[in-house]
Amino acid sequence: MSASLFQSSDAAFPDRPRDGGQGLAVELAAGATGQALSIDLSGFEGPLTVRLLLAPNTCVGGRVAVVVGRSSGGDGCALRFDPISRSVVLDVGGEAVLAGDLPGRLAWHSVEIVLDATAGSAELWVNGIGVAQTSGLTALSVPTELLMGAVYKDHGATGTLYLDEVVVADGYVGPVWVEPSSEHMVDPTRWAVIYNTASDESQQWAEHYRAARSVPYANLIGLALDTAETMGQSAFEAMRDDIAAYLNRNSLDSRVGGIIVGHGVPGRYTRSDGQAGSVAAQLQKIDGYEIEAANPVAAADLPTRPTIAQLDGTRITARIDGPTLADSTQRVDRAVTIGHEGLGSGADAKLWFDPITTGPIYEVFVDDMLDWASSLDRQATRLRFESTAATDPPTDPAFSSVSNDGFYWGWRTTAPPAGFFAEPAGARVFCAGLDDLTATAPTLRDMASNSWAATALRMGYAAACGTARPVSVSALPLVRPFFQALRAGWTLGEAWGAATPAVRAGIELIGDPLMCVPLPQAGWNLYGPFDAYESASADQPIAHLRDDERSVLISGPDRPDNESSALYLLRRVDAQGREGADVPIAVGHRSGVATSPPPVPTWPNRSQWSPRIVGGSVEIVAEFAQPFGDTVIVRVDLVEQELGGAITVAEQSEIRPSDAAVRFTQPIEGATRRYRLRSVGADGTPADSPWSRWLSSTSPVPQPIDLVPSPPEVT
Amino acid sequence: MTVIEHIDFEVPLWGEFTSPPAAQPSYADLVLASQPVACWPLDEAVGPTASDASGNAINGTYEGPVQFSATPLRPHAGRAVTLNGSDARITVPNDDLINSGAPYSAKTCVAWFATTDPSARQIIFEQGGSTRGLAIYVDAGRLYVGMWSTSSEWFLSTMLPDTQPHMAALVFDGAGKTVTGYLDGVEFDQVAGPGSIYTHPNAPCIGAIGSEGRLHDGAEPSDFDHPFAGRIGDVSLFNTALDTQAISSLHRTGVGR
Repeated sequence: MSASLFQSSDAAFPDRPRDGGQGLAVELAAGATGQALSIDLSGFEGPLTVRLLLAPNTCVGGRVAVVVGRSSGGDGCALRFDPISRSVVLDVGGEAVLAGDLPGRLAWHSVEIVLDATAGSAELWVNGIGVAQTSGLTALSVPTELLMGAVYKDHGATGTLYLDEVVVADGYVGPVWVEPSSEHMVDPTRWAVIYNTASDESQQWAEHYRAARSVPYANLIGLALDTAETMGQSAFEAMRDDIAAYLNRNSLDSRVGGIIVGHGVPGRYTRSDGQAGSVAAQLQKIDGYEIEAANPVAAADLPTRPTIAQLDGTRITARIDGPTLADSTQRVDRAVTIGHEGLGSGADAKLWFDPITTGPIYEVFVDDMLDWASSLDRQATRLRFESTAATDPPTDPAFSSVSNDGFYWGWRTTAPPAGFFAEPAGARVFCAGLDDLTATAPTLRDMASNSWAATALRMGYAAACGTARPVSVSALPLVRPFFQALRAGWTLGEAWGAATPAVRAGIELIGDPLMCVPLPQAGWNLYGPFDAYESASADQPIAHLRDDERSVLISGPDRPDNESSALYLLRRVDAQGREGADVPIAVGHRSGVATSPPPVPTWPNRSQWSPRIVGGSVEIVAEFAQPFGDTVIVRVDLVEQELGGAITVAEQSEIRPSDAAVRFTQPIEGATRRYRLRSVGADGTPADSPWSRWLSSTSPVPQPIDLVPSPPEVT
Repeated sequence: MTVIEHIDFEVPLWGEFTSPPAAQPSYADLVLASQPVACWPLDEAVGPTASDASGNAINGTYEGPVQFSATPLRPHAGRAVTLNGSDARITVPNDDLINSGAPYSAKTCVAWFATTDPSARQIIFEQGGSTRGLAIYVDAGRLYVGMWSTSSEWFLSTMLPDTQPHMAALVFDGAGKTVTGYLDGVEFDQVAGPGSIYTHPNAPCIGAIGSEGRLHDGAEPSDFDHPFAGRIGDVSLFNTALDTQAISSLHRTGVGR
């Protein structure tokens, strides 16, 4: 016997794991005799469908007949697997031969044959796609016995192949779909993944993504497409119709709420009006019309988590592509890693926020974004925050570069400036750098592309958003629901779905929509104000602080009335987001005084300190423990006093949020004088450093200390 | 849709496995059972390698614009290749099992083909040079099989009026000193032949003359002359003389009867 069959857990189809799950392993040795499992079909009439799942595994060297239909007249049909050409061939009684290629990079395949003796027709399906059919067969008869395994084999066929989930029926069966376990889009069975069977790299990527995210094989839709990044409108429409037909035919239409346009699939198409179309954006609705429509799960504020029912036929879509296969697989791997490891303390995951300020059409977005920037919701991200909204009025553009960046959300024209994403890089999770609404973004596969999305992805961002054509103002994504959704533990795809008011608007999510982004949890929650400890209740915090924040400015109704005091409760939040059971701190305040004085410099920090004298000037550098953006400091003054004279401000220094030091230079001439530094808080509260020593134009200049001792004298 | 049977292999099925004593051997099984020195199914989906299924790894090379995935020449075959009658062919390296060893006391060559023009001179298979060799080819509406060695030559022919798929076979039996020609499993002629054929190390070729050759009319074509136009598949070489029953069985199995 040169073939043997046995049941094995190694041969089990992975999408239906069960305790002790098994499949049929077909072990092959050189020789021509086979072994088969027999299924009695006597008495069966009508169209015969046989669907099986086949994993070529290590089979090489020759063909194997895995299914043979036999009747009293002999063998009527045979389904052969050919590992050399990586194909399956259905031989219909010598009358016709139907062949179909198996995507070489996928481990498992759904192979289905349909034999209709009455109609004289035969069909061959591979992975839910009809690959060949024929009609006019005159000798086709219904088999009375079905043999399965390695019924016949070429002499040279060796190795092992696996079979599982064999279904014999009287109609189309289709691939093995998996019942979703959640009504939300966090479930990978809710997503369909499009790949290109004409591209070996696309197949590789599809298998990589399937394994990384446990997407069922039935949700992989392999279509033979152009390998270029841009296709024509008719090709896009054919692709769209094929996807719709696949979902409908294979019981996935009502189960799938998201579509991923994978590596190697054309991501853009040229519309009949000459504009570029985004394939991913356009697939958000598959009803044949290219009309922008309202997104049923979008909301200005955090809605309930979108369900497949709420999507109501609309789909959340994303695109994963890049210049090379490695780029696209690494992007998936990075998304998985972020989900596993999270952003820790968020120290290297700053949120850089750069709202636009010009143009009336932006006002609603600017207002909304500025409101969000100062909101509790923004604090709840517990991300370090760098924003041009901190100035009044906001400036644009403000950032020449970003670093330690986890998120960039900006509204700027054209491409990022050279060197914008600077070192040290942060966690680099998501970049929403939309270009001008009249611009057309370059492609993802172009190594030289300088669009926001392409540049950010090249610099290591796991995800981004991009446009394929001018986007209407009403379709621009909203920052508030996006981060609220991430904060609530939704996937990137769900957050994007909640943040985009319109579908089919030419704006697309680029990256893994199943990525979870665990924002930092540890920090502090501030509650209050309360009249007395007995009446305090920690229901709704008035501020969220990061783990390393030590001060907060209370304003508005949360601030005590003038010349009164109030009680505040501060609660520790641990890395799992759990608050401490106790109330460790209660603080009273008085109107007009900051919750804490602004910090003074860590240098100079003692009396009679010595300013540095360089040439004819005094050079004073004040260093602080934290960047100014993490404190309430809005300004640092250099204060001087002439001997016997008044105390005045010699110089004021505007500060930058990312800086933690300021430098002053004063001429050393005239009267004897001394200096101190004054930190000024957001509410005007000052805090002074100690005075320096008195300096005059005749003050001795400190001499360097010789640190090398003289050698001992030898006598 | 009604499911008649669903087997997920979760429960033991040992008792239901069966060996297939009534199973019919495939064409490939029959070829391999006769221990070919080389056989090229020519059923690849892509080039450039035409794999040798005999296990001897004498792989050929597709050259020129070979068209793959052509309609098979026989029902149970996977594919055949289509040659363009110009610059498409399959070259085969010299090998002691085929032509560069010596002497050979028997040889059988079997090939499936369908020409688009039976009137044109076209080579199906050829090995050797102008001194010694053997060939199967089409010319002027006839199928030719033949051998030659120095000044002696043994060429046989029969009518080939159509463009349908056929199986041609050349059998050289040194023990019986005969050369026999077959078309579609049926012997069409036999002549007295030599006791052996010595080394003829000019590279074999499928679909054209190799570097050199000889034909029935004394012509000595060379360098890929007389390219084949049509489909070719399942070319097999044996260093034994297959008998009439074996050749007939090959054709019968090949066409699914």
